Amino acid sequence: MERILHGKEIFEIIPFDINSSVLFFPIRHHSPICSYHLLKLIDEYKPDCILVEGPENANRLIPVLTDENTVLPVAFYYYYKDSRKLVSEDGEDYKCYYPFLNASPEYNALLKARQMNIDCGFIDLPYGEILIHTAEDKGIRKEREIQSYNDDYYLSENKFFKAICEKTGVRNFDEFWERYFETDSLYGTTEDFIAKMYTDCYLIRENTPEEDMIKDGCIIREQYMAQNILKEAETHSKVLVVTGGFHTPGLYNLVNGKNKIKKVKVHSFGEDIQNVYAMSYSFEAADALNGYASGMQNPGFYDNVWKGLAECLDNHEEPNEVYNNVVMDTLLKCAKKSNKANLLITMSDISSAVTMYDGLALIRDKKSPGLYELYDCVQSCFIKGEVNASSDLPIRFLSEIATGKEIGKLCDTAEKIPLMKDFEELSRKYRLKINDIIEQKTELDIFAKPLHMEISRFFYRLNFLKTGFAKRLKGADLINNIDRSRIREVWSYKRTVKTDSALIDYSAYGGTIEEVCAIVSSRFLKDEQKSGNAAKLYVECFLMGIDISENFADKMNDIIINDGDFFSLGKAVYYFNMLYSLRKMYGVDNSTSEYFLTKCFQKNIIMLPSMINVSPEDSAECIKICKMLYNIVSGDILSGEYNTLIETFKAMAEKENPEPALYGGVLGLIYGSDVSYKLRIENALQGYLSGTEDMRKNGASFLRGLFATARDIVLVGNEFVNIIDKLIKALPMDMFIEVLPELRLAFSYFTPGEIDSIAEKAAAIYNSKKSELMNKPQIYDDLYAVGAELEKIILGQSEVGK
Amino acid sequence: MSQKYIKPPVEIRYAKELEALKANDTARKPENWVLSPKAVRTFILGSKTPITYNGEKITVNKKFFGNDALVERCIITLAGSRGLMLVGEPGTAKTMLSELLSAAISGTSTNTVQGTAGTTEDMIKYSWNYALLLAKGPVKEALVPSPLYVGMSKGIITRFEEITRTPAEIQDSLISVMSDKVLNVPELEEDGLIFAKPGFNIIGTANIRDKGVNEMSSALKRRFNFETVNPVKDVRLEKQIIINEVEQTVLANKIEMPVDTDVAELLAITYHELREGISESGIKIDKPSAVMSTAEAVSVFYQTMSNAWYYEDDKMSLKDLTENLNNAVCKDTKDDLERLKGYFNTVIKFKAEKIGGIWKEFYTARKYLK
Repeated sequence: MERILHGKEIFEIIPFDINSSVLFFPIRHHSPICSYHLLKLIDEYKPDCILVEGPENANRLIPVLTDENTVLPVAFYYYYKDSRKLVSEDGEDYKCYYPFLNASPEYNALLKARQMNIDCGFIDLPYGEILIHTAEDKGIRKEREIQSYNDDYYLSENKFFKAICEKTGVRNFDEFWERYFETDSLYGTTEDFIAKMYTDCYLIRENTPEEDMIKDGCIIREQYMAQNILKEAETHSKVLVVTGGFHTPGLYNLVNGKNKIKKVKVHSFGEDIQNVYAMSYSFEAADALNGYASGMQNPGFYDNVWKGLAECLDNHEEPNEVYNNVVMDTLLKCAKKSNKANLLITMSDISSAVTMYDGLALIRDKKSPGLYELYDCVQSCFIKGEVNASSDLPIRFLSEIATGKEIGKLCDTAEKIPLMKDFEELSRKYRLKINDIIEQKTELDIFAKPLHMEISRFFYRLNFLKTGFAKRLKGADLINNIDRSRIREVWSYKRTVKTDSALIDYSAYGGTIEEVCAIVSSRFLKDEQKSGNAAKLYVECFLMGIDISENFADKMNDIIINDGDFFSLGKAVYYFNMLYSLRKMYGVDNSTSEYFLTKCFQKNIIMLPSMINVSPEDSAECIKICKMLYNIVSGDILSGEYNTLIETFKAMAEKENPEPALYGGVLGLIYGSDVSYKLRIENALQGYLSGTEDMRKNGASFLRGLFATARDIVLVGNEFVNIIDKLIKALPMDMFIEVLPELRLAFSYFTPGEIDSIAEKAAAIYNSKKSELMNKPQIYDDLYAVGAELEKIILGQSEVGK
Repeated sequence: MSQKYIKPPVEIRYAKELEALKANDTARKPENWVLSPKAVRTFILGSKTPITYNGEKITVNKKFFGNDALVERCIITLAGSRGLMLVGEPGTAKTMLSELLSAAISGTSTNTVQGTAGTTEDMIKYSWNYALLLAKGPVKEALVPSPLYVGMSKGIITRFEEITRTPAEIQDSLISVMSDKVLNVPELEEDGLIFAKPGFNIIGTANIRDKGVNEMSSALKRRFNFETVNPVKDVRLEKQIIINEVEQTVLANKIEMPVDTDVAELLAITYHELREGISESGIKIDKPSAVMSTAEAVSVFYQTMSNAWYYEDDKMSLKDLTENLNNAVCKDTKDDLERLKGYFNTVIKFKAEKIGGIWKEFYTARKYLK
């Protein structure tokens, strides 16, 4: 390994000549050591052009990125909408990030170019083009939590490196990288470092099949990059090429004519199809541990390392103490934070931790301790006992500190998309703290203060656009029918990377959040076929304060007419009824809701009789809808339909082979309008009693349906309790056990007071009292033991008798 | 290797490796350490490059698997002023690691206190030879030194096994020794202060399942660095451990048959899946409450192998393996038997159908689960 890493013979394969017209500098993304040697090399090489790996359609954003008022981390956010189905038949939308941290060599190369006033630019294919040339589930099209442009997986997921990690006893590629590159290369020359990188990348490349590189889109990207390098070399005398190390051998061969360059043609896409924006980013999002596939873990730690290294470069000092200082500083912050959480980290613990990280660096042949020694010493010296979820707080604190909390900020001259501008202006108007890293909370008195109603709608709109910005903690939940009477809302909110990226995603739809929500709603409605889902959208629009009713009345009408799903229509009835009933409270005109409610209701009634043979799984939902329809006609809005509904229920009750629970439910609803139906219900239950075993089993389901709609039937008189008693007694033990859950469910419709009253009636059947039934005398252990012994003897005797 | 022991101590078992490492050790070492920290690391984690010693090439094999960083932390802890406390599930090789560390650092792994509920303070510090005490009074000659006393006076590691089985107040007698590195024997008057020599330290081991029986005081905890030893997560490594351990044991017991690596792999997978509660193919398994450690797997394998050696013409039988597995898993509760049967009827059945071969035979042997 040492021989490979320090092998000078690599320069025979990829020559390194400081006087050459094109010089390749291989990097790992966000690596401080790469930035350190890159800046040293730029001072020595003095290029007149710097070319960086990255989609070239982001070139216009370089001035924003390198502006002195831009605070890192920031990211380029690329999107491509495959409406022409060039990537796949699915025609999906694609997006990815290209984050820049202070330690990123790409950023430092571009910044240095600006300072030197020389040409610079990105040389890779535009994002959409890369996607078009990448096979499904490969390269940039691989499913990842956070899609990134950079391709570190060539390093971290390479079999060659996995074998090396196993051999050197390190835990993962990042530890290997820190040990053999980040800390080790601080003490060598830039040429040594480049030799090491060339060797490393050459070996990885040798261990990667050509076929994989074609599928990943790597080969075609290199063709395009080489094309661009040669173009710039024509007009510049010294071109420095900064790319991921994996591409260096490929690019060298292409630029130097060892492999042939095939001209790559690119499509011409409008901004609605493909574009890129700069956005503020965070260390948290850039952390490899949070699913970002191409970066170093704990970027905050390495950002501090970079700050130290940059200072050494500025002051022409040796960087020997940089890691020691950052490790010590991070350890002290971790101890302080742990102490704040009452974990009692003493000076002795800290001193032991310092001994530990120094000792580990020595035993691991590292010239300075690093992130992994830091984790090791905190685990060993700060955790007293077994490491588990309840004791690992110091490690979690360390992870938070080492990840970093900072959020980037774009300079004022940065181009802002109108949608983002609208978001920021409205947030300012509503005095929302959107630049704070801590989640904020706000309480809204939506009916008393018009501004609060506006804020509530703003939150609903952002949630509708899936920005993950706000979360309603308290307040009426109209969609799920929970706490509808609440007049206040409590929300928490926090601007995250997801917020910005979602807004960028929707930027093509319009310039304001309100406009975009209206367009997205109408698009949704255009494709929707179920009235329930469409009505739910009406509720969402109601909450967002967006009126879609007039423009889409015809479409909604069509959806209702063509919807043949009883349950979907039931859902629509629920939503439109709710919107209608809220009209006074919210002070809105909801005449369209009344119209759609009537339409859906009528369709529901027509379909109702055919539902009597519904499957047992759907019976509960069906009973719920029947009950809701009954409640609606009992109110004022559709009172004229009362008799029609009852007649429909009666028609259902006459049908053959009804589903028992729904049958019970429907009879219960009829009983609500006509008490003479009690006899019919008793007869029906008797029928279940005197039937076959299966029929008796169905009796429990019948009761469940009945109690769901008419539980008072049990409370009036004693007859019903007597019948239930007979039903239960008639069931054999195994069947009783089988139907017990159903019976329990049936009785769950009663309040505790009602259960008490039923218990009294049940007790009376057996000449007992409620108190005796509920409070049995205690059986003492010894008495129970005697009983058990007696039982054993008796059973033993009967066995003998046999 | 000498055949005088059922289980030879580490320093005898690996005497050649230790001697070779010592002879080639040029790195700096703490006072009184037999090997340097780097050589201790090599002794425990192995090295691919053989060492030449007395004209012989000696390969230092890896002895502790699964967490190299943990071993490194243990070594650095022992070079410092704090004790080392190894905690973890039973059978995770805590004792083995403490033996390896002691043998490599101090040249002996036998200076040990065995913690039990009956451990008293004089077993930890010192006691008296009462015949001599009566004859000569409280003189050094009459004093019976404890392993802790020996460790301090010689500057070597003292191992304290199962420390949490010892009553808390007895454990606490270590506090002053670990803080001041002094043991006071008041009966000896001016000769009664025993100062610890460099090289002295304590390695304690404690099972997580014993927690709550005798919780350590926070004052004592502060004197230790804690390391949690987890079961090996990699099936490949677990198989290797089973093979290595069984090879050593059969050699010591003169069982001259080769270790069946296919059966070792089968057992490693079985233990891994039962411990993790999920099969390789993603089937959820009801985990048994019994300890499913690698040490238990080694024991099950060795029993099956010795059965084959003495009764079955050198062929390991999966019937025996199943019976031994049954005995190892179904100890505490009857539910474990049901869980084991469930595992056979789902996961092993699936493997028998998909892979066949040895798994089919294993599945057929399910009838011996009782």
